[in-house]
Amino acid sequence: MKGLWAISILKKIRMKETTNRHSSSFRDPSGFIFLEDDVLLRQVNPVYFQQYRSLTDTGFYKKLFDAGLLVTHNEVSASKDSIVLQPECIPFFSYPYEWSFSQYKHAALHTLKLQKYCLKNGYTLKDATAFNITFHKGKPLFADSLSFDVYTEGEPWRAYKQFLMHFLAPLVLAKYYGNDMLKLLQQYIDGIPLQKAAKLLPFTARFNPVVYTNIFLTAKYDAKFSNEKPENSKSIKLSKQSQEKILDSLYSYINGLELKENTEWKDYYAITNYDTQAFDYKKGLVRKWFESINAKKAVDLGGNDGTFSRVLEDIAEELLVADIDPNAVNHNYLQVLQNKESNIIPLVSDLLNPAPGIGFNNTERLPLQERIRKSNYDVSLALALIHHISLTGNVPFAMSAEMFASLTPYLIIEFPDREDSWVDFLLKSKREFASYFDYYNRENFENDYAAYFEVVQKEQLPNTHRTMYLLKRK
Amino acid sequence: MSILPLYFDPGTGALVAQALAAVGAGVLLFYKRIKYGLQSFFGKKQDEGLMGDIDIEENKDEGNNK
Repeated sequence: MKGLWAISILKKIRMKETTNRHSSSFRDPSGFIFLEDDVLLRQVNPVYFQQYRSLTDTGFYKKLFDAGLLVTHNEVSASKDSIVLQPECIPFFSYPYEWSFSQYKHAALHTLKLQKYCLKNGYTLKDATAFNITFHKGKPLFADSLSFDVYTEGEPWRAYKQFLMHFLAPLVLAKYYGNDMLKLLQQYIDGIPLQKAAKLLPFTARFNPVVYTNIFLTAKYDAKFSNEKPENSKSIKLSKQSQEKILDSLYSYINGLELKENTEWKDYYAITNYDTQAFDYKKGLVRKWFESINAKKAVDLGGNDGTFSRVLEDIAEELLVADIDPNAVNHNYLQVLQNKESNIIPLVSDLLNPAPGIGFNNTERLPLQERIRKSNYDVSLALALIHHISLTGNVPFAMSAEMFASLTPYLIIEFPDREDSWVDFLLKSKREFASYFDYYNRENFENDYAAYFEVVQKEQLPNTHRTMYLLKRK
Repeated sequence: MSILPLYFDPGTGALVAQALAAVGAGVLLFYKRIKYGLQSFFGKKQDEGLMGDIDIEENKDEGNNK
């Protein structure tokens, strides 16, 4: 009988490890996250028990929670086979290739801060992947409770190379070549190989001592020792003070990094084609409609620097503001920091090419649309967006309607007519292809969207050629 | 306590390079300290920026309990 019971327990554990296990959680044998009755839990495996107990008993976990460095958790059960934790719920998880420059910088600094704090308390980060960081309550947060190990005097930072590959290399490349470099982790899911980064960087990059030692020199040594037996690495020693110096110098360098690249976004709202009255009216409408449907969470698609989302800031629980322009998103994030806003998540995303599912089985990092759907937002905002999707992206109304309907139950959408100067500009830029867009008018828009939505409210913005709609999914 | 095995290769070269990076960092921080020292002597305040300092402020209550 006892044997059967043990087999059934084992079967249950195995089931959990395969069926309920979160598709992103398989690399680290210390444990994994899984879903049980729609609740996200984290299992600690016996191999990590000692570390887990130490982190709990010394109060270091609590210190990390109090300092806002690590996602909080509660222990819900403990047996000899597993300890189960319930981490604080993070409603939306963004990935490094969806961050603006300042967000990327802040995530890197957060990791360095965490490692220095760990050293001070006798621990070390055994893992420094950028995928362990996300943005929550207006700042970066480390989301993996099992990435810590007890520090042994004299051991070098084992996650150092990983930090360079995930954070320093993309940031330095972005400094020289612009925002697009920050999307490299979508291709290089394990970080940018240092030899590759060293090859790509301009010769003058060597003149900076931090870049020279941490990228060029490390890349050289990494290649030189690549055939070395791993056992030999155990004899390499580095004092804690020396490691702290590396952390300090990296922190100071990254904190001072700037990216100068002009994008489409530059005082976007200063060149709008409508007056303050229409602008304020539109803001009032967004707020009124958001309240009328008792919405709590909104996703603002093409949300620029968050100007319209901020109208909802005091009444919304969570606002995800996505935009294609990395400088606009950067500006949004700097405002979040400046004003200590806790419910706005800025995100770089091109609606015509949103982040796909990547990694093992294409499910290790989930597609943006899927994460939005799972986060259960009440309403999408699509303000001054449809003409870009339709005219720039050639997406038919029926297809954009289907996409919006797949995300949220409500949609607040603005439709600029052909007479609108932006639409006129976009149509003219199509040259001889412009006649293809003869379908672009309000009537066709309403008809095609009617297949997916019913109109709850509709209003013309005063002194403009633009109409606002509050739509409800059918 | 035993050191946990890593799921990725820390790279022997990267471990060796840390010693060199630390020397570089030491020299750099030394000069930075002199620079900031001189700047603050002449009244210039260092701006921490929006992302703050690397060092975490310990629980403030400790100070009150003393």
